[in-house]
Amino acid sequence: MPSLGLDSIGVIELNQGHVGSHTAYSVVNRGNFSSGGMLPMGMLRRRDDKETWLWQIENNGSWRWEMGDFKEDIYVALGGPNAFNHSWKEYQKPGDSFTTVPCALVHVQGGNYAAFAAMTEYRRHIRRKHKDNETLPIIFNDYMNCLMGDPTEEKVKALIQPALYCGAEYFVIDAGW
Amino acid sequence: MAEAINISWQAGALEVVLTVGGDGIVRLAGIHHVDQPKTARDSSALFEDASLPLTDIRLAGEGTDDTKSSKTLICGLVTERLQYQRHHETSDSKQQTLEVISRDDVSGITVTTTFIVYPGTPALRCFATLHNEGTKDVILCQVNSLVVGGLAHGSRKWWHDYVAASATNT
Repeated sequence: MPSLGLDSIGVIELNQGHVGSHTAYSVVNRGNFSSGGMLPMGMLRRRDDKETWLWQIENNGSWRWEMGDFKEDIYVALGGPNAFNHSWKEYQKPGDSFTTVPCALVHVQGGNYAAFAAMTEYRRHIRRKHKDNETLPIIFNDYMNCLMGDPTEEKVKALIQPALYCGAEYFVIDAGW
Repeated sequence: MAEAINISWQAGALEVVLTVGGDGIVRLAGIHHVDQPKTARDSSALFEDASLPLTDIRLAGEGTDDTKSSKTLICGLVTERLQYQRHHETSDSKQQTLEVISRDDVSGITVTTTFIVYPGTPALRCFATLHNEGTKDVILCQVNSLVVGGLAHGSRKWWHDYVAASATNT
């Protein structure tokens, strides 16, 4: 935590009404490449593995999570876009409503394996039902690691027969984001 | 100041404890796996309680108090005016749901925090829905899906006893 700038600096002991530092550690992603650079997840694990908190933000757009000190303890705040990081604002007339993106929080008495097991169980619940998951077809889909983000008609066509030879049942022409 | 009340919600593998403080604000006080022992709060903690309101809201023109700073996501002025109204639970074979409704009389907004738990799954899903029930337009600048304080249970060495992790993706 100190390497993230989260530490106890003794401000509480001044007894001047402080309830924490003015700092926080945040992880932010902007735009619709929502898992680019950092995944919308975070974890807080007790060093002795007796307890772990694990969270995720479920959004294909901008997000931010933040961890900081409050009353000599740790808090976490999870959310989608905001004005400070993403220039996001939502105009609400009387009668309007707005719903945030969902997030999920796991709390286990155990280490990171127990936490990820719980999160995986949860993810299986929220995944939409689809026949793809029943039939499990073999799909060829490349954009970055074979075509290196530079597809042309000639390059894409050259991959169809090799993909078929490898057993692919579907051939995806990916245009990236 | 009204008396503080506790709301204990048993859902699947979880017990979720909310408190409605004497200030009328709803805070998340605990999330426990029902089959595991609760972690006791450190009795030597400087503060009896480090829980925070369920969400944090900023409207244009209404930022934060002087507790943290505008660079953080907590301690919004509107958040501190949200008054508990009611809560209700529903359940079916697929999920259990708890909705908690608070209201800010100044701006006229109500906020519904929705918690969802799936059978046998020790994970809490959460989001907030804001309704402008007032007579004026409002501009939202921040609405968090969930805020949870007191993660270290009052450990005097919270900065040492816990390790944070994030996930890079290249």
